Amino acid sequence: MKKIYVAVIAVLSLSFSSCYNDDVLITENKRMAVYATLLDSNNLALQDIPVNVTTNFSDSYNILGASSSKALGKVDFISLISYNRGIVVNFNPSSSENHNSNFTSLSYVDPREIMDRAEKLDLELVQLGAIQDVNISIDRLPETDSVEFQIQYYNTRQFISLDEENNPIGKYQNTSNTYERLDEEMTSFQNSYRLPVGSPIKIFYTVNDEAEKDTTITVNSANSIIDLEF
Amino acid sequence: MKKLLLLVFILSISVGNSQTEIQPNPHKNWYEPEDSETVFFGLSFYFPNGIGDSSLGNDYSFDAGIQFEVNVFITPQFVAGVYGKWHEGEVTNIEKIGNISDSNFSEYGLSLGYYQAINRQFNYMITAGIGAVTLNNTVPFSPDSFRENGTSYKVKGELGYRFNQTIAIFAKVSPYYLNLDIENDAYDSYLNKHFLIDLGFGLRVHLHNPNG
Repeated sequence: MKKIYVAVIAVLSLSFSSCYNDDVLITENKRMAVYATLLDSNNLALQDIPVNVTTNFSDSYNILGASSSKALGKVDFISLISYNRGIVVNFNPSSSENHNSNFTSLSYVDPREIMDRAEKLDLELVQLGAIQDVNISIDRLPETDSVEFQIQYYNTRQFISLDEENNPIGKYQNTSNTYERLDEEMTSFQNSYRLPVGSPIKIFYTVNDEAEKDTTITVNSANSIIDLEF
Repeated sequence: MKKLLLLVFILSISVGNSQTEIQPNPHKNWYEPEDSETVFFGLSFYFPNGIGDSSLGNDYSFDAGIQFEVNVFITPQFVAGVYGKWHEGEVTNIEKIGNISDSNFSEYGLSLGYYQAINRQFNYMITAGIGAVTLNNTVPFSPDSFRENGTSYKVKGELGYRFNQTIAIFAKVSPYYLNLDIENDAYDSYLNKHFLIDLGFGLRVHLHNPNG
């Protein structure tokens, strides 16, 4: 009787374990062709920029396919697909050894785990922005007791949803924030950022615990140094 | 009536005896005139080469493979056979096929052939065959390989040299068309339609009917 009981438990355990499989499962007898034309923000073709397809937001794990842009910025390659994972098409992934640090990274995300994924994904025109080094300094004026501020800026890697209606990309995924408070102990703040040219830097600040105000500065080649005083 | 039955019995025995005494005419293909060729086994090594503009032609580096086959003489000149062959290929460029590190190719098929002895030592054989092909593809991050299937249509030419009635060696060349069934309209031809050629050599063991 004890043997039967153990056998039943073993069979049930195996049955339940087979229901959940954490492995990436590749769709058999199917491939996806990826097409795009890669341009910079001045509509000039970008050549030799790496491109890959991954199963999740990481641009280095579970690479299903990879290539690089050719003459005239043409991207044309084949990727595997998985039926128990989504796809993310990464342009200029930072994990690639051919990553071009002068340009942003852009990822198109489709998290759907589907069997009948399309055989062709044509992203048409894809633009990568240039990256600018920006030094931001914020000082507390002698007459100010305290300054609290939040610097909100766009990341050098941006996400775009391929299924925006059902799986939108939240703004928090494309932006980052720095929070700081200046007072008698800390009178100034300074930091350097790598930011996409043309993207806004939004600074929310509160002086002497009064109402919050904000100011926006757009990143361009002329403003690599931003000095603010409150 | 009894005499008639006895006569029929005697005639049938004599006819039977005369039939067993008839010796088949020796065929040029037989190594020993008294022993008809019946079956031979072949074991060979081959080197696959992709010869077309396709993923197997452009994006793989193939290792040597091994083939086993059995051929039965239907007539002194025509043979029917079954075969199995196996080889491996490493992917050298993933750009047009996806992130596969290597593939194991296995094929099982049927063949019909024409066997002709040039002289007692040398012979040649030409066969046509069809085989079911399975690719076991390995993906670096996925522990389970995934499979893809296809059909192979081939011809093969072999030049053999017999050391004796039983043992022979041969060289072979086998061009074939491999049609896979990977879904992708844009790259259908590149992924599915492959022309390859196997070059190889091997050993044959000929067996014969007891008593010829």
